[in-house]
Amino acid sequence: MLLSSLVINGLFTGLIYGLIAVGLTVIFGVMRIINMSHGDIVMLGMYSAWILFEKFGVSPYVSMFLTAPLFFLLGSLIYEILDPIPLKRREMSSLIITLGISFVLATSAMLIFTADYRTVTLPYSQRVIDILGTRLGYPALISSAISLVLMCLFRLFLSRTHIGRAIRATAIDRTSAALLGVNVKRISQATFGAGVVLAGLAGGVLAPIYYVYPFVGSNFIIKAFAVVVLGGMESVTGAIAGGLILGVAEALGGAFLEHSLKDIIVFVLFLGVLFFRPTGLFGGRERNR
Amino acid sequence: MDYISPTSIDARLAEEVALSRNVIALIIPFIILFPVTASAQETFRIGAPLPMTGAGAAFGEKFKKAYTMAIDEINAKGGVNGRKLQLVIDDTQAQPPLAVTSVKKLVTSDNVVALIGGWASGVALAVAPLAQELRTPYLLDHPALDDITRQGNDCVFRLQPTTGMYSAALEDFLINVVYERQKKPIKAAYLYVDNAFGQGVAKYGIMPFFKEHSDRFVLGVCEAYSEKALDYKPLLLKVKNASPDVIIFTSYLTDGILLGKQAKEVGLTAKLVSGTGAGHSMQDIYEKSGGAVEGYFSSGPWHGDVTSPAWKKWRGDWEAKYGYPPGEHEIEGYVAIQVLARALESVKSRDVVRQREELRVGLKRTTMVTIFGPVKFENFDGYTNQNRAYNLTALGQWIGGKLYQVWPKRVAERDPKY
Repeated sequence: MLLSSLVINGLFTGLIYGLIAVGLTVIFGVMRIINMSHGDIVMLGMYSAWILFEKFGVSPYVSMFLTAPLFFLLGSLIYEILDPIPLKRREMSSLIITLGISFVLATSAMLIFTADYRTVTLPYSQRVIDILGTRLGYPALISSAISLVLMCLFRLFLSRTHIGRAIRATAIDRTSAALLGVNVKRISQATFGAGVVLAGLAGGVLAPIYYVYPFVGSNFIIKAFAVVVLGGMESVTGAIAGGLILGVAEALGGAFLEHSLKDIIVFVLFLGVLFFRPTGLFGGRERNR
Repeated sequence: MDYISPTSIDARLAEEVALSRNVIALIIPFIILFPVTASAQETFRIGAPLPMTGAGAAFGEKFKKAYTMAIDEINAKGGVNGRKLQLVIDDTQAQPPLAVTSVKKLVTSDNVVALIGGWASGVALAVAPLAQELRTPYLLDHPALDDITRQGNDCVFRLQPTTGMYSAALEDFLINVVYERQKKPIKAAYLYVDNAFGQGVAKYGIMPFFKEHSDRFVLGVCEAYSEKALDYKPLLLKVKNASPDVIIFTSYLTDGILLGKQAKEVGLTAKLVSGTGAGHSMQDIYEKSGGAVEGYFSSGPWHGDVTSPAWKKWRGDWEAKYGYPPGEHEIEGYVAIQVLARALESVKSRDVVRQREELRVGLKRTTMVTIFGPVKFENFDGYTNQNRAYNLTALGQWIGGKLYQVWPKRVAERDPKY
């Protein structure tokens, strides 16, 4: 009973971890950019959901799609800053630049929204549903379901559409992709935009179940990296699986070990995967670039 | 205590000349700067290392409001000994290493006569030895970890209950009401945030209590949890599985909000659920958990003697100025400035180093009754300069969106719903 509740709960939380991480995965996969501002973009997603809910009563589950174009724009703009860096130096330089962007975003949010904690309390936030003897709140359930659907759609987008194939081609080999007529810069920019949109959407699903304050991004970034490493750096399926593994591992660890030790599980998994399977559980073989 | 006055430095300098030119080169700037900065104290500057950004910023803001209100009132009446009080805040982000830098700056560059606040126990733990080293009186108004006033520092003072005292009112209620009603051993669960504050309440308050009363209470699940987790449901499911009669949380705000919401989600209930001050005593926990903490108790520093006319007047003034009812943080901060102002009356010197020593002696001699309760800094049971504040705790209960003091009976605003 307890065990099944823990596993079910872990799976649902894991789907949200997956959505937080998938944007990070795709940006790293295509552009070799380690986006340290990812958590802060999630924070912006949470704030935009909060504002639209407070001012206009729009549910975060709706508003997250309304604000998506703005996040695409933001992503494209950030990419403009990063694009001139030569590919060879990109991993380190982008890490430092996006860390700077992270500070700018967090402190700007601080100036605009102050340090107060904000929460979105939906009319049905106290209602619960029983799934196989496990009680789940409506918001947690909806957030997890939306996360799963979004990730599946994104996976289909990558495999079934022309742009998706161009993104994957760019990730595999930029030069060949360019020779085959892919506009690598535009594709990279669009991918960055898409990654940022995914982070914004993650903010939307988090808003009803978590709290937001300007520095909340730091709570997500480590988990997101762990998921990315677990699942493989460039794989959407990997991000979903990594999220689920992390969610369940944390749930079981949190219950059967000391709760305060559960972050250790994240890092042990993280190091274990790096040691035994550096490309991640679902990552491809190391490619020469 | 030896004072370093400009003349004594001059005398020392005469000896140094014979030793080394380099030493002189190092000392000269201090000789030039020292008399200027040290004597130009037309105001009493009070340094407050506070979290104005970062996760603790909401608390920093509360103390800023409390200090400002008290200082404005004192200055409106002409200040202390004809000198105005001036608040100098430095942002610590509630991080001990930054707090150390803040305090060095406040003492050596801003020339504050005293240090106040700090909010987080972890911060105060780093600041206290530094204040001692710099011989600058440090008045704690909220950091509650017992160890801070158990290190024999004569420059460190605390007016409010320590963490070990926070649960005093709850313990009293557990024995006199909960146990008396049930008359058989009571199953308890305890979850506390894994930081200096949580460990302090656990080590000096809750755990010794359950150990001492193990004939009446059985402590089952007892765990520290990490503050920034997204999901506490696994832990709460574990507690639910043990079906305790009493659940106690020691939490800050954000973790308290999530614990309240998620406890409701997993259907965790008990005859009594109580926090131990901090997050559970803040208005935000009720609003931001969507009322999930309705019926929860919270034991901690009381909100003052709410039956007294002076307290009622202060509450009215506070609401008029800031538009919300004050809680424990607000009254602690407000009273801390009053205590400092009283002690500053004995400060006559113009030199800031002397002022600090005079203030330290003044604080040691201070005996006053404030709207928070009696304040007197004593050495007892291993504590140094600690107010005996066991009685300055109360048990509140969230009823209809408001935290009412419900225990002890003499200060109860209404009867507990239990």
